[in-house]
Amino acid sequence: MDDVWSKLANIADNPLDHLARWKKTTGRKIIGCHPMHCPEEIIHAAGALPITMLGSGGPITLANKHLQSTFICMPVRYNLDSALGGRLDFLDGMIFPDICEETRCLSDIWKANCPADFHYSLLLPVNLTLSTAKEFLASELANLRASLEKFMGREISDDDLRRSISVYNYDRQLLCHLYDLRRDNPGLFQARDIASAVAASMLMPKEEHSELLSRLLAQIEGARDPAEGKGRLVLSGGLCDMPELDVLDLVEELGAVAVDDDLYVGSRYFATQVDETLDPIEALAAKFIEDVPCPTKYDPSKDWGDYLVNLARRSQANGVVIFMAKFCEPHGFDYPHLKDKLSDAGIPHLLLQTDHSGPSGQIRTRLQAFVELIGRG
Amino acid sequence: MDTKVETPKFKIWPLLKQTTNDYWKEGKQAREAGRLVAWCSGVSPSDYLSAMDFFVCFPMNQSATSGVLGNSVKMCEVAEAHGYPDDLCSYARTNIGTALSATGMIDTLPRPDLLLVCNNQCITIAKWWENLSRLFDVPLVLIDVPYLHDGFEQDDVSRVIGYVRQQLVELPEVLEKLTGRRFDYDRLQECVGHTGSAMRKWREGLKLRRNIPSPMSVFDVYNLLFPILSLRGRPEALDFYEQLNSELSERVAAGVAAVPGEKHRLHFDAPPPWFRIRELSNKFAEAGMCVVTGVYPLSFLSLTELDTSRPTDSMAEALCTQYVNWGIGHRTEVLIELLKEYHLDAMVMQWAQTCKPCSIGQYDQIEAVRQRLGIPSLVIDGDMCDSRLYSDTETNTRIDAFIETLQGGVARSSA
Repeated sequence: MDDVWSKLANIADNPLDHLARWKKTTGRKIIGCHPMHCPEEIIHAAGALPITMLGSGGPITLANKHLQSTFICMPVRYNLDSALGGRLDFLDGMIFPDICEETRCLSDIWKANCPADFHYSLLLPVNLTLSTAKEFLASELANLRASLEKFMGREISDDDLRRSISVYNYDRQLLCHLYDLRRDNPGLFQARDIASAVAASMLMPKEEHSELLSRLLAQIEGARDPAEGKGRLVLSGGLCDMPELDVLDLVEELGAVAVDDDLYVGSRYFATQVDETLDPIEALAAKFIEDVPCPTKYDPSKDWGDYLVNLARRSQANGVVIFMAKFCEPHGFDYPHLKDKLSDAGIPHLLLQTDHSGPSGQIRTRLQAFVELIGRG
Repeated sequence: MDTKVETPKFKIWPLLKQTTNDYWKEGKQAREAGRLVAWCSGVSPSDYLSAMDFFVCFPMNQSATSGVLGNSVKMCEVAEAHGYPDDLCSYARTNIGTALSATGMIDTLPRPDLLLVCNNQCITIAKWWENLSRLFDVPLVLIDVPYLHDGFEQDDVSRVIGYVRQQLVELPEVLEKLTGRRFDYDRLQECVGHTGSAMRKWREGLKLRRNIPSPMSVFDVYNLLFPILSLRGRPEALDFYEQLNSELSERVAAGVAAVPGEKHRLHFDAPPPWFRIRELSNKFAEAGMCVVTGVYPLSFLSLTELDTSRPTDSMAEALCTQYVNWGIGHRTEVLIELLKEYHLDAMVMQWAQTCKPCSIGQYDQIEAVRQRLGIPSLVIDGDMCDSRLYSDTETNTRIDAFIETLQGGVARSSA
């Protein structure tokens, strides 16, 4: 069991080394997907490996000549710095979904300064209440498909797409199953391990990830540890970003457990399946529209606050910890509403604004006070 | 600087003042008169609402005005106390803070019945409006305009315009449903016509700044923007800019300079620090520097393409091709043309820390302009409304050093 966990952790901890090696061994193409909402299935169907550019912390040097450090989020600065520093040379191309001011501008700055064989700015509809939003997205996805066909020198048939969707759905199901187990037996898991298991899914071939997960699930099946008497936390947010594992470790260290999450590197990544009965492009467009609420989309019929309250209730959580990347405007504009919804529902929450500077004394103190406040399950 | 410079006053000021007062008076009376009130973003299809006799107002103006008056930080703090992080757009924090601290009438903005926003200015503005919609519990109409990235082919641009066009085709029906009033297509044509002609007139006036010396500085432009924004879709805007243009032409003929003794000509990028606008204007003028151009007028110029004979199509095109909706590379080309056309010899780039779409990419623009035109840039670290992000000492030291360098260097090449 430890063997599988350590494999997943190893991939999540050193994605760049691992991917460079994978490319050398397989000779296959790798396409970087800037967060969020990249239709990875189309890239998979084209025969390339889609990987998510999980920004992480570290000293930024080269990107400071292009992106101001005083108001641009860490994931965007970190990723550009990696590209300029040659640490992403194994990539054959990049896709940038247009989700916020930073990534939108980043796409053009990247194109000008780190030219790659394949560069794609993916337009996404913001107003999901429009009758034409899905149709527009489907035309964008069809265009991406055609561009990838040209780049890869091969046709991407509907059957290819269906097969890829099915591969991805299977991995999503396994992750859902892992989360079901955690909800009942949170004491079996550490928050950092779960984050690594999801991150690994974003960073390696899905088929291999599913195989590792299946082994893991078989090993865990039947084990029990409901962690009675411990504070039950739901972790939310962390959009576009790899959670800081050192910070996640505080959860257990302070005597609580994570029972579920609404993290980007978490349930937000796999919560929604793609309908295998529809036309594949239409199904991928529908998935984007029907996915969990996201602050980069406008759809008042899907309230993120209500969603989070339900998620916390379903997992019988005592409190919610919201991780917000510093300078993340979409998240920041939704925070007052999330705050109101949680407090109306009587669910305590803690906001932690993070920028990969580690588990500072302040974060520890605030989380400790919060765990004490919510008491023990 | 040892001497105070007296900059010439515009004869049109009294008319501007009158126009402004009349507009706000009309706003105050709008509800009593049974008119609906809409809050719109600056480069939105607000003409559709004018066509339905809405009283149309623009919260962004109000935020800028709060900045000039020195009230904005107080309002930002109100928003922050409600949970809005202090790194969000300060126009939004100022406006939301104002909305949160008032009941009924908000300063000069009457309460909205409807909100209209177009995300061609930035993605952020739609989040701002979404929050207003929750706050006031009124419907929001979001015109969704995807971005035109560098390297897009004509096909890509057409796909985007087609998506926006379809939304405009459906807009009258949406508005009819929301208001229970009939949409008047003839009025729409009229309103679009008024906006288009006023914009074209305003652009003619702006072009007179190509003259050396320039008859108008960008600081004058900021003050004179009011009619083109707030009187959109009305005949008064055209009258105003006709009068302004005659005055500008007189100035050109008489050699009257906006900055007496103009020695250098500058471009100011990103929204300016409104709370220091007078000080900056004076500081540059005292050094004989005319800040001639800026991003703000550029942002509205696509509306010059509005065409009465094809209101929907021309509106869709204008909304999509708005300056800030283009990729950084494209915007750099526009900037380079502007620097040449207006005979500019330096740029002042403000990093407006909470206005990301205007500020991200400035490093690459500075470098491109330096390499291709040899034009130097001054960077000011600041913000449009949040004066807590602006240091007087540091900014003034940088400006003084830059002025010294420019004055020691070669003056502008020639006309």
